[in-house]
Amino acid sequence: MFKTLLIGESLLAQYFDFTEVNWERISNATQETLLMTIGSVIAVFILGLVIGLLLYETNGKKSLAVTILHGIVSILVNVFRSIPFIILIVLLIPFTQKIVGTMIGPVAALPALIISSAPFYGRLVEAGFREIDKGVIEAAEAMGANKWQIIYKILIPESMPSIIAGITTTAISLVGYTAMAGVIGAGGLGNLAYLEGFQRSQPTVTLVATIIVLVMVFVIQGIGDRVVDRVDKR
Amino acid sequence: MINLSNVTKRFDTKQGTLTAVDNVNLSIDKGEIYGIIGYSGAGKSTLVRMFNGLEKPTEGDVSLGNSIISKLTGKDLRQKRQKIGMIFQHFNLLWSRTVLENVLLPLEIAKVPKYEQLDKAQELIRLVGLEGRENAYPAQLSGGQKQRVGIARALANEPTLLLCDEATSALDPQTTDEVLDLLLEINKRLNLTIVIITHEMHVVRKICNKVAVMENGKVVEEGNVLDVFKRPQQEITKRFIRQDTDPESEDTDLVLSQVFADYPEGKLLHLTFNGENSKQPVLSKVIRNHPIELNVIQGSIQQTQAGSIGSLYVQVTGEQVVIKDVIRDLKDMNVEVEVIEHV
Repeated sequence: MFKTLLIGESLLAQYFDFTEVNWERISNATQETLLMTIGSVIAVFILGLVIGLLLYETNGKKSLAVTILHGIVSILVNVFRSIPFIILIVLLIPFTQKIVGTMIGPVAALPALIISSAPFYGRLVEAGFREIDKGVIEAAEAMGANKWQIIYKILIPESMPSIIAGITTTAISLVGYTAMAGVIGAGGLGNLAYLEGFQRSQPTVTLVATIIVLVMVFVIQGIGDRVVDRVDKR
Repeated sequence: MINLSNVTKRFDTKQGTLTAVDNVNLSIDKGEIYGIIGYSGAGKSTLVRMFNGLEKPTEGDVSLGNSIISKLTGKDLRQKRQKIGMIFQHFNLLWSRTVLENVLLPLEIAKVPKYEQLDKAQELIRLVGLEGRENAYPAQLSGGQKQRVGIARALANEPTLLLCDEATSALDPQTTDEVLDLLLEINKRLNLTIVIITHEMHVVRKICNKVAVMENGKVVEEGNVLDVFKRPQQEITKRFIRQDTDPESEDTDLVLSQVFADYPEGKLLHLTFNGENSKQPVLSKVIRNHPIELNVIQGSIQQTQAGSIGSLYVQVTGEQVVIKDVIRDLKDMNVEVEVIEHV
């Protein structure tokens, strides 16, 4: 009893040895994680909308060319959605080096982050579009709206809650991915937890990194829920 | 104003070809309120969607004014559609827009100058009686109010034609009448041609001038509402009229068969009066002039746009020859007589 308590105490002590923590590094790592997350979320949002629109608009059309296009996009989306992220980064190393010029640093993580999440978010956007009442789209057609007007006056506003909820979920998974990207050299909190926390056995650093990631996730979820609540007038 | 000539629409389905609209010919004049009635699956929704090119006929032509809608595509069709309003059973409003913004939508689509949009939308909201609710969202409105928004929205680009697809079918009877009154008022005020798709004869009777009855994709009967009410030709038309004049037709059927059983010697007559002669004491005249017994089973009076229609079920007992005279006299007094042989 006394022994386990002692072990427990020394165990706890390992996690609360703040002398190990270099706050400047923590701050840098946090900024890197934020940079990766925000940069990839913006790109994923735009790309995902495009992919979602493409999937939605090419679905169930009579033309053979359009059906083939739908098939290709659909297969690509499913393939990139299915590759485990850690493998995708490794797989994309030559591609990343070609377009970013390096494998080190937060920017180098962006291609893998975007390519892994945009298809996933695209599917969420497509599902949001599909939820829209067909009658509303028919009403717009009856008013003489063209394709483009239907997209930006009907499809996007009417699926806004799904679009926002979807990007919230995606952003949270992206925070997780940035940590994984960190392990292979992208920097950020994942990198810090791995290099200092694990390899130099400083659990306190890992704990601090974990807490910062958790705060980020909660903040993202909180903002997402608020915005969904604001835009949803149903 | 609107002409449909030999319009046929077929759909290829997995079960084979489905003929939704079968060789329909219609012509609708400017300022008319034209009802198209039929049960679900009769093809009336498909038919009305050909009026604004949402569906293309497989054969035949739909023309509006001097343009053939069914031949238009792309930009020309979209511009034409701006001049054809449409309202729907489920309103099809945008939940993400307020009442005012919903009414603005067609104006934005038609690229009406910004400074005109707001005035126009507010004027329409006043017209449909929704002042004060401009900033409400559809979710905060009742069904009748939603349909008013639908009507305001449909009128935004000053259409020459308004299509109503089961526009009152999702509303309760009271609200239905309010919406119908509004449509009638708009028709009179703007001399707007209105085409109404419905499965309720009540709607046709209340506001339509003309009616077409559809069954299995065909128009089986067509004419002035009053004439069709007075002299329905087809079984389906009679059924629709009965559903309206006599909502408890099940009960009447029961009473009629009971009377048949009790008095096999008598004759059952269904009398239809319109406007003028419904004010005459027709029944007392025939009773006074002939040695018969007369038993009233069921009766009602309905208002149409062209006057009132009375419907009366009576049982007449007496000698065969006398009953024949009675029927002749009734017909002389401009009463439609239908001898009911069996129920």
